[in-house]
Amino acid sequence: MKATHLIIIVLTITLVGTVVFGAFYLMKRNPAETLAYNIPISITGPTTPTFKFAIYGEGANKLARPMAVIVANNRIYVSDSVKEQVFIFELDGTFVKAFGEPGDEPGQFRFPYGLAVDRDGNIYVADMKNQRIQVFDQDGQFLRVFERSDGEPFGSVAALAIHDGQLYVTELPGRISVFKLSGEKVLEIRDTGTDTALSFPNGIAVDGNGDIYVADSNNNRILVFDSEGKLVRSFDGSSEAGDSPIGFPRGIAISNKGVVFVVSSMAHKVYGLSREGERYFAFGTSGVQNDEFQYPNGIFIDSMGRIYITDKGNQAIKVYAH
Amino acid sequence: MKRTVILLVLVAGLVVLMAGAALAATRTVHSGFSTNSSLCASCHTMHEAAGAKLLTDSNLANSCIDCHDGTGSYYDVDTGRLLEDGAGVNTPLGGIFGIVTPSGVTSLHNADLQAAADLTAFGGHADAGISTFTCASCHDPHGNKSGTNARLLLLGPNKVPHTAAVAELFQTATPTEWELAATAPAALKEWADEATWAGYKPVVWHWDDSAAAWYPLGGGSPLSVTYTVQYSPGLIIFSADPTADPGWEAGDKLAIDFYPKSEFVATYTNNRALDQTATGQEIPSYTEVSDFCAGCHVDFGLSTSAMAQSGAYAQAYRHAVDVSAVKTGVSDGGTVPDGGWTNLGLETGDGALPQDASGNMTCLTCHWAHGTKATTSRPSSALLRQPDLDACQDCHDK
Repeated sequence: MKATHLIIIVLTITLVGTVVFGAFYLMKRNPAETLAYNIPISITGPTTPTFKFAIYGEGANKLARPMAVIVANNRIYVSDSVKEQVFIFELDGTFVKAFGEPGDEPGQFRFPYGLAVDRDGNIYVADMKNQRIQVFDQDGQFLRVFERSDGEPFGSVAALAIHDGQLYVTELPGRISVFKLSGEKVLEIRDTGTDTALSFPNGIAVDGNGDIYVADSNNNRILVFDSEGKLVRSFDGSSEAGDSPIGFPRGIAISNKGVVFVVSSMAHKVYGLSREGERYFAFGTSGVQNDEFQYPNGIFIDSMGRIYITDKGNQAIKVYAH
Repeated sequence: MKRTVILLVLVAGLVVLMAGAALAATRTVHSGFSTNSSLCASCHTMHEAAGAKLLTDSNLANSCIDCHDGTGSYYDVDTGRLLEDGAGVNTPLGGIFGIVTPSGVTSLHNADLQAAADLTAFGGHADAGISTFTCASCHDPHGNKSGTNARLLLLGPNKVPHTAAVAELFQTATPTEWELAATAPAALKEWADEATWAGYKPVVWHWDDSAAAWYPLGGGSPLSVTYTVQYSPGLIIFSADPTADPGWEAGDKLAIDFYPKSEFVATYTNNRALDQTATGQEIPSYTEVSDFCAGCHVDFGLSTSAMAQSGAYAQAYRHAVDVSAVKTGVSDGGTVPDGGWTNLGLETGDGALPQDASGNMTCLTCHWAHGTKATTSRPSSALLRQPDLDACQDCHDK
């Protein structure tokens, strides 16, 4: 009788574990990340990230004006608007290859900008001044131009994100759209829910709850929409303690601890905020040293918690951790 | 009484709301600075600036292009295009700089020159040049006094004297006459002693103690006093209209600015800094834009006929500017050449020729302001809209 009970308990635990982790597997979610995301940050708040290393490229393959960065397939992908290519690096910064070239043919770019990766490891590139999104395999082989099922043309596509099988796109000067990866549009946000229209949204990120964070750059604010596109809240990083608003936020990323990282290109800084906009920390200053920035723009946080920042003026990717 | 108070409160509240909305509508990095200082911090820093004027970057072009590469402004000057509201892309704009994406630029106004040895412009002279050439040589990042000037263009690109040539005027024995203060900057006095000063337009300001602000005279509200400014060797005399009674007293302060006389006058008012909701912006046909260019390219702005030599620094036969845009060979009576304006790569959405309000061609009829991708067999493509002289046929139809 006792043995039977023990078996039932073990089987039950196994069944629950299989269902839970199976669900995570099917959703392509990291259970550790999801768990960490929902654990409140300690009362002291997160610590300020510290500089680890910089990636410049090498020889003829030096970065010239890195705009956006993502980590996928155990590699670092960087869009470069001067070289009009996407660079691939190993995680330690070793150059692997670059793909694309200037032009408007398939596989070519005019100002490659936002990057995103789907569950198959394919890389989506916002080809801003060709007004299209192109899809490449993980080695940079051209696969296709992302086709919208509504047949509408894209404008100046800027920031990209993929979350739960949906592609999030910002277009300049002011539109946000969400598509299924099949091309069906599921959401368009133009009404910000405020008196002011979107103005050059250069960053977009989606948190574990499906809320959409938008760096509304020229309005100097972060807008948070729910998955239905309804404005949930907005904040600008200012505080009663005297913190001034974040000027011209560009890249935005959310850590697995729920820290909202915002890059201010003009201030040459990166800010860490709570999901409600409370400022935890800021780091960076204008300069050419490894831990300084000159017009930083894009940001990405990998599953290890490492923070990758594109430093346009210093022609580098700066890697931080905390 | 109670209802009146409630009504007053409601009206006051509405006014405040409307004012807030108006501020929001005009708030850009180039205006609406009263909102907060974070806009200043976009380009300036207080204690660790890398560039003069507390700029965060020693190269102004870097700061400008950070937004004007298409990621932060409607005016994508790097590619030479104008974005529309929403997600559209409009027409070409000003030519291509290609600083960020150098895709075949063959000539450009090199706006990131910080201190080149010789900045003499073609058709100009070192005396008519500027010591550095940056975006701010033509544009005022803080807006300008005209208020409705599209593209934030300065009143003139050459020797812009606003900050350098301000001097207080003191009242003379003649009540309506004022002379330049003895405390005036020496450079201005030296400058005033030169004949070149006559090429500049004086603007006189009055200090209003109650408002703690300078107001230009002759510009309508709040002060509308006509005046003249005359030069005699070593002295600048300001004379107010003797029939006017501005109510000034001894000790009142006046200041005088000198702008290039070829003052830039924009006929275009659809400036996004003033109306961000406006759509369908077209490249304007500026009145006196040729004078603006001639601030540096002096000789090129002096020609009125290709049949006679002209030039202040070098005599040559030159194509006239500010003359009728349609001269010869047109078949429809003088408005559009055969085949239309096909070769100029025009910016205007309706295909109209860039010409000023009088129908005259300007420098911008044939040239881009910023840069070009046009190829040439000549030493320079000279910012031309089309390769070599391909555009000639549009007007001359030979």
